Amino acid sequence: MSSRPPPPLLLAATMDVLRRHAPFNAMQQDALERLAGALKLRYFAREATILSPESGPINALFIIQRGAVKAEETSGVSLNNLAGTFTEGECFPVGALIARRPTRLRYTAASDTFLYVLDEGAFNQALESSAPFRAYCTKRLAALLELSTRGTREAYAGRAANELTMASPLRTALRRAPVTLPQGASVREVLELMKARRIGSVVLTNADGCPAGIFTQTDVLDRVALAGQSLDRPVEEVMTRNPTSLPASAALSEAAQLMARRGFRHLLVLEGEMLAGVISERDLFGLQRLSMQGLRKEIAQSGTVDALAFAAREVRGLGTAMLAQGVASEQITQFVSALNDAVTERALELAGRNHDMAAVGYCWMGLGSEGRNEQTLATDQDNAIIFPDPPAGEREALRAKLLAFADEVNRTLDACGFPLCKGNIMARNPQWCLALPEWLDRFDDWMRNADPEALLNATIFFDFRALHGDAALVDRLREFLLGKVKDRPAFLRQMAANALQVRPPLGLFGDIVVENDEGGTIDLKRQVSRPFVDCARILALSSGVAAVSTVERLRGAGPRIRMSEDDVATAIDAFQFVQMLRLRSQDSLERGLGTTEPNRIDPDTLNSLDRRILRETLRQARKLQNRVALDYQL
Amino acid sequence: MAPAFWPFRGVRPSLDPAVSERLRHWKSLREYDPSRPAKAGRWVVVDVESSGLDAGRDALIAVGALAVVDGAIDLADSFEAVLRQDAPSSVENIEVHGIGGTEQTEGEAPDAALADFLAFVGKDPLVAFHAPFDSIMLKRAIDHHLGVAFKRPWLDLADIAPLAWPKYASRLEGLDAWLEQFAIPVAFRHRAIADCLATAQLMLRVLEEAPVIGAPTAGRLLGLSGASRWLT
Repeated sequence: MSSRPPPPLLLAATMDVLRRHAPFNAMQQDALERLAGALKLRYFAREATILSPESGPINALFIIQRGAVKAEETSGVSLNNLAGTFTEGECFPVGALIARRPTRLRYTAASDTFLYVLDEGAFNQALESSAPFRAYCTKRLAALLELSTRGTREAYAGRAANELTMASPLRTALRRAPVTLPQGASVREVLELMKARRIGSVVLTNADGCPAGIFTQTDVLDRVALAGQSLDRPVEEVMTRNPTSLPASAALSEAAQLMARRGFRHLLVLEGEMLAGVISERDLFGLQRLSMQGLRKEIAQSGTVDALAFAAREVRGLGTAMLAQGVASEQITQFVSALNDAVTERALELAGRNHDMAAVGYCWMGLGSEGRNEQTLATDQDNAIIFPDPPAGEREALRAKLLAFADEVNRTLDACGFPLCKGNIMARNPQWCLALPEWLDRFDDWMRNADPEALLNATIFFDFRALHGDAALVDRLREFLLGKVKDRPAFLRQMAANALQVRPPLGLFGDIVVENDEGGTIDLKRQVSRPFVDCARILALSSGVAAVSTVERLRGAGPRIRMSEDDVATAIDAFQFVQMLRLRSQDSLERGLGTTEPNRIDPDTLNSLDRRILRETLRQARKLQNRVALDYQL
Repeated sequence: MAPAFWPFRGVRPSLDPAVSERLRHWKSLREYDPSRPAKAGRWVVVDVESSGLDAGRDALIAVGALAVVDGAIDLADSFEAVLRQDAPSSVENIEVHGIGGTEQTEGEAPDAALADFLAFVGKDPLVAFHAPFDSIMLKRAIDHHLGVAFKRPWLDLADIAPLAWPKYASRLEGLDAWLEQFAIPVAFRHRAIADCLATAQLMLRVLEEAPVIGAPTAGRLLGLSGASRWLT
């Protein structure tokens, strides 16, 4: 009868609550408005059951407005570890709703709780109409990470920009005159122009010739291809209206910050009232790549230890800057590793001049995190030498020569900011400067005995990689290892038992358990990162995967041990998140902020989004451990 | 011009035919069932804003209403209207509810808005905190603009909350205190619809307590509310 729209204030207040949380903060206004308008609000007193397997197929999504919800296994044993506590802004049970099946968990109110209820129809509509919502529901961890990355980028943008002398005005970075079309042009015309001119965006103008909108490559996918839009429709129907602009005198850093904060990839640049051009995220990143190549050159050309040490310090600066730009931790560690490799290589070349190494065959190996390409910013040395077995009687003389050389290299690297290894796992140690047959014996020995020392060594030495010299030697060693380890189930089982000794700090209800005598912190390396690294090593060795990095090991082993593609991708995302947290924490340590321990972090200092991801990451670590436990009946 | 004598009590000649039709329809609606479980069915949470605190004299400026259906607040099942005033209320008063002078003088025609309100409420029981004030304001306005006697059952949460949570009864007085006790946020205090949303959340809690305090049915719950006895 009366068909009034719902009071705007009611909608606005609800949207305000939702916008504090992912994925709602990333949703378009109209999609969020439709979602909010369809919500019901329910109350559950503490301990009241909200959902259980007996509730039947799920037909609504629950979003926690305030309070907390406990999810528990009802059947006792389970491996999927979704149990935990959900807090404000979190949604459940997404999987069951999408699959229209009963939930496997029992959900009860952990405290007095108000829940928004979104019925199936409105849920499906949101899935269809909102990409961020869809991504959140179908790829929960990945979507959260994306949002977190954006946050990281924002937090660091200003500082990094300064370091990159991005204080220069935008007009210096514009690469071409703006390309415009009237907004009445068809999508086809716009796409053809983009192709012809090889550009990523076109600015659309209104009748007065003023910018009215922008259309970019990304929009083609979202708003045209996937939306099934006809190419003959006017582009104004799919363009982004009123694109954000900055004056040409604004600093590059300002553009970087604005993009990071609002998640834009393009900004208009105005000279007075006139459109002067478009600046893209890529343009800003381009500046970055130049300095990276410059750095590589600088390393390769440094003629003295001092010059090399200077270049090495700049590598750290670059790591920070990349962190600032929200580059994934896998890429950062790869770049940093690549540059560190270049530093090591140059250190070997410099030392080689003093030791007449030209005719000596050997290979310098990186071990541990260096071997895995997972060095964070604060890494000490872990290296060794492998050399071909010389004619009888010459082995010790050759070893002595290599040790003298290695000693100089180790000291050079120390001067370059890679501290000497406290455990003396370095090439200058006679124990770790070995001929190929000696290495084979050593490895064989460890696998045969599997005593605590052997197991500890395996975790460091089995993550080996050729850094400089004759890589064929390292290939032989790896072949031997992979061939032998399969026949040593007892050794693998011992390694598995070791890998399970440190459990991720996850409480009974999915809360993060801090160590109070450590100032309420958790150890990211020992408690979070290492379970991933150790489990990946075991899974790779047992399934004959030669890769060394944790990510590559998981990717390689996944299909062979019938882990689903999604599970592998999620585990990798989780591992990379903890690596990113470690980078961030080490970075703030170097700058004298907050933490005093490079790998310790107080979860309360994380924003709510990162805390949620950390919890999810801990669950993933536990899941991986459970997988290993199951394999070895532990 | 109104004739000197009008045979149909309560329906005034000046009413728009569409409004009259709506009133007839409202009157024909079935009464709610007092024997239904308290948590089942529909309750309408109401809050009004007025030009002052004298329910007998001050003008009704805005009405907000929000339904609680089967124990859930349905955000789409909601109502808000600002009634057109001949002159804006005082500055002090505007500062309380935030409905500015222009918004008041450009509000909706009161007869149509109140007819819409009746259609929204239907014959379901009403809920408010300090219900007598809202009840009297609405009764006067509806009688004045529509010529209808608005006698409805009201559940006054100011009566029920102390019964539901006796341990807080001596300490908590007024809506703000109860909202604070249960950490219920209010987006804009004294905007009718925002107050409704907060009051409705208190109502969700009351409905959970209803069976415990001996009021398993809607009728019994209303019976516990002192206000309901003399308002109906």
